[in-house]
Amino acid sequence: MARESVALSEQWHQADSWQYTLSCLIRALCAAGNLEEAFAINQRAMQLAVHVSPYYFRLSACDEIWLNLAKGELPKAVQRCAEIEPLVNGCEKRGQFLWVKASLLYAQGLFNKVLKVLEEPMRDLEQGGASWYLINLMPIQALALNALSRDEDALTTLSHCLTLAEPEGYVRTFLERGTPMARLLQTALRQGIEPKYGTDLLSAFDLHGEAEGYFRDESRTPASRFSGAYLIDPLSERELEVLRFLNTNLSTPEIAREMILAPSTVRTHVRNIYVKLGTHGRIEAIQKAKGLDLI
Amino acid sequence: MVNIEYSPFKQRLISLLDGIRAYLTWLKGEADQELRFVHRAMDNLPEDDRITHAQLLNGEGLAYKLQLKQPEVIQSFEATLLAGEGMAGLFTAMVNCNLVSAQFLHDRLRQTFSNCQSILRLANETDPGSKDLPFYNHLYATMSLVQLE
Repeated sequence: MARESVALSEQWHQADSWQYTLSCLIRALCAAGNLEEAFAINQRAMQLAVHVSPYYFRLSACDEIWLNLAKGELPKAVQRCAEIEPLVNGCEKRGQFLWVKASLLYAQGLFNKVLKVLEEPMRDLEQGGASWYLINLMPIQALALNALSRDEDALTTLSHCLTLAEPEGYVRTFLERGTPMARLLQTALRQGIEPKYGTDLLSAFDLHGEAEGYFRDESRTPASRFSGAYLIDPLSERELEVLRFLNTNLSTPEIAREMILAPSTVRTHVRNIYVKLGTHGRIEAIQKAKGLDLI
Repeated sequence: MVNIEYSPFKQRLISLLDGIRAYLTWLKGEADQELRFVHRAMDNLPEDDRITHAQLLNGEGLAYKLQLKQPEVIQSFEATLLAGEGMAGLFTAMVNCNLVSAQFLHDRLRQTFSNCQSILRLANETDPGSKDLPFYNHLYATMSLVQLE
């Protein structure tokens, strides 16, 4: 999907939206553990950003800091952050830059500074209803509190975050925080905080293999391994029924006869199933559905 | 401009120039300044210019998006859709693309993804070629962000 958006941008040569779509692709590549390509894409994004405005360049610089953190290149991340920080405006200080800055301070072990840098902007974000940013910042805040042995505050923050994140089934924001988050989630579970969601999240961490998240070890890609654990758009009862028939040798007209439907209706259901499962064919859909315990 | 006598034409021109300034400041990420230009442009805009009014409302939504003020963002884009009623379907599609990216930041992942699919489906039904238009790249990018979560 991210590659499609980039391809469309390339076709129209509109630098501002091109840079934005490249940024989305970088996030996807980073989550998939493909840091090499992500760095190369970031270079292209920075070249484009120069043609748009210094603001766009700073957005790309934020991506670069994030990538360097993911790669474990802390000095490079610190240097780039110091370069752009004097230039960021008020809005950026509540947006992407804040997320990168807090992550960087956490990686440096400057936990009190993490809390300080987050305190005021998070109040603003809560008032402004920018929940996506909150859900991405609260795990960092919880981990910083935990690192400072403020265990109760850490669990309160995590609990708040889980309550916000659970209805939409966020996974990545927790996974990318690696082992410290897995441990904190285990503590939360022991205290009965969001047990169902917490268990789902912990199953997404590879605890048996001492998961470190891609912050510590670029070869591990937990987010990509568990990318199929949730369906964005659940299948309807009718689609599930069709899906079960797809797992047989029946052809579309035969399925239509069994279900007393028109073949065109069955084809529509099949198309919707493919879209919802993110697959392109019958065999792939059946495999994905089995992986998700749908059949 | 100084030498042009005051007239509805000049008023409209002032408004359009502020609209352009607003867009340029948006590209620089300067939301407060963009809002000042947008609102000044709205004040000077003749009441019958619905097309420019709708575009200015869209600009207002983009500025609020930079400020991460979600209720205002959604309000502006919805007002844009109302003001743009009767305009070409492409304008509506473009504003809808902006609206879904606002829904994403408002933590409405499933709704965002479902709305993205609806917009693409509608585009496909009305004009199969239109889904390759430039503003749909934001739609695909937003869908990729939802999948990433």
